Amino acid sequence: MNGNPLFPKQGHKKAKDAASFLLIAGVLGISVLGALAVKIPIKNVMEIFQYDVLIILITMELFTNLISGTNIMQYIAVRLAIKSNGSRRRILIFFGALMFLISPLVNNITAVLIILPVITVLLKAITLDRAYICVFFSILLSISNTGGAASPIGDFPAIVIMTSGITTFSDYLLRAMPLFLLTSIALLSFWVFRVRECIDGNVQKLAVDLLGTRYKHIKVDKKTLLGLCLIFVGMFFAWSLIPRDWMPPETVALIGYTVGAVFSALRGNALKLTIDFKPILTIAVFLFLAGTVRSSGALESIAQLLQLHIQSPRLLLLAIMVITSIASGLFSAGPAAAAMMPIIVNLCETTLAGKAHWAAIAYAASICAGSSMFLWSATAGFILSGKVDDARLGYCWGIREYLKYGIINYSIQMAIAMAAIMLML
Amino acid sequence: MNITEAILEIGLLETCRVIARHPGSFDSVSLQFPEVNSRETEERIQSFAGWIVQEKKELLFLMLPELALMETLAFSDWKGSVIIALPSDLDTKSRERIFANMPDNIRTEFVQEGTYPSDFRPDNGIVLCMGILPEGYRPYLLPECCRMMSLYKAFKGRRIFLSCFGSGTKAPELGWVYAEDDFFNGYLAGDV
Repeated sequence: MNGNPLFPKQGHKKAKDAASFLLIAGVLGISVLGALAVKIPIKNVMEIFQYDVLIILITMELFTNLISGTNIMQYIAVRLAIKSNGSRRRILIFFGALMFLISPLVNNITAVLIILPVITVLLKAITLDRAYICVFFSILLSISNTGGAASPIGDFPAIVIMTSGITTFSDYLLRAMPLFLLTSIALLSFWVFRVRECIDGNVQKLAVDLLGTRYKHIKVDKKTLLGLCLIFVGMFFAWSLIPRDWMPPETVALIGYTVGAVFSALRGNALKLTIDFKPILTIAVFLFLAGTVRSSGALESIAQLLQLHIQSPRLLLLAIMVITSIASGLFSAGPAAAAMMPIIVNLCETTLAGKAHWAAIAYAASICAGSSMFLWSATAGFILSGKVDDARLGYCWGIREYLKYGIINYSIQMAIAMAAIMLML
Repeated sequence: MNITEAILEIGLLETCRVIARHPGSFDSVSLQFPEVNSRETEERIQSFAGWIVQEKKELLFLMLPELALMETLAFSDWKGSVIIALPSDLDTKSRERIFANMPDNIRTEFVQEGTYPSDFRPDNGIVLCMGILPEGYRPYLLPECCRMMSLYKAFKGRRIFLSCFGSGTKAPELGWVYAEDDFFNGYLAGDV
């Protein structure tokens, strides 16, 4: 039962919003009180606050608005839906692959929001069951995490790594992309054979044909897209080649977006300047919390304690991976990334000096695996769950439904990440 | 599968066109949609478009975004504009899709259910609503169209019902409702 269609779950939505803002207020309150309790001036915390992370997040979200304004994302998603011919397995593979391609370029929430409208129309049209819904959205969520971690601009933890200075844009990309591509293929391969095809193929084909018709006159603004792609390639080269001391990554993002916006406006397109500020605000307060903890010196003590008890750099990194992934699973990617980063930086400067590039990958992989553990762990988890509810597909998809799939995805991701680190270190 | 959602976004004639391409699915959708034939559907679209051109009205006020009809009119001598009424409970994503999915070479305008299009008069405009006309019964419409027609029946000009199926079509059991007697003052049968 999906409730009265005339009155969608407004109360449910309001309760979720209230919970999110309660979390934001709670974290901010704890951070401020904690800082005051140990007599850390707030000004000191703000001096090490990572504004650069927020600038990159906001500008990349705005850049995504420019790209999606060309209708390319819709076009690709609809083409894939038509190519799938209604086959459940192909839908899973195609949209999993699409998610992996989009996530490295935009943050997870944006990636989910870009392809979800087409997915909901497609899923509403084909014959569904609870198991397929669970597999489909679980894989989508996990691949949004692996895709996000595959590039230094894909998601919050990756941006934190890029701005921390322990690795460079190209060093991160060259190591992370193959690892997370392999992880995504493993996740897809594991689940795709557990999906049963629907018996009535005729209805599936009709459903896909109807979906294609609903988008048949939507056109891609190819010239604007080409220009934006060139600008993006330019940003990519700038991130890879220009030393961060000379031009920091956030400045590259800002310049890239400004040039893109001017170009788009000159082409006569309306600029969409609205973005969802809730995740930005959430990340901002967690960065503030991380700043407070860092100013207290507690994280250096934890890092020293770990170094004292584990002598082998390889074992030390594995131990940190496990701790980070569990922290990410329990407290979600944002806080775990912000809280663990100073420890990683400390280790990269001491025990793991010379292996910093792989330490960064290990950290990203463990944050990414932990993000897939529970629904609340992933940046896009609750948003995706809410959108699935709103789409009224006939089945709920929430914390309980995701649990089994999340634990399996976490195990697969951690196993691959730990094996890769053991092999490479 | 919910056929109604597709009809609300692409219109009844285009839905007929798509369903006619998949004869193997007729049994599965028969509760919501009558059996259709590709050739008859195409002839019906041509015949409706021809009739509209002959009517020489500048404004067509449609209760559904009839893509098939608009595509045909775009390549005809007709130089008018199409106004499409959007149900008030249509979700935002569907609206955005409808806005972006309009054919080229035809002027379109949208009005929210209950809003009366500006400069739409009996001498320059005509209200059109698609549906099914089962033999011996009143027109059969989608509930959204029925609701909108109950508002626009006050229009003093021509309000025409176009049947997208042949006479004697078996009425589907789900998702359709009978129109009131005073909704229309003209009927165009779907026999070809």
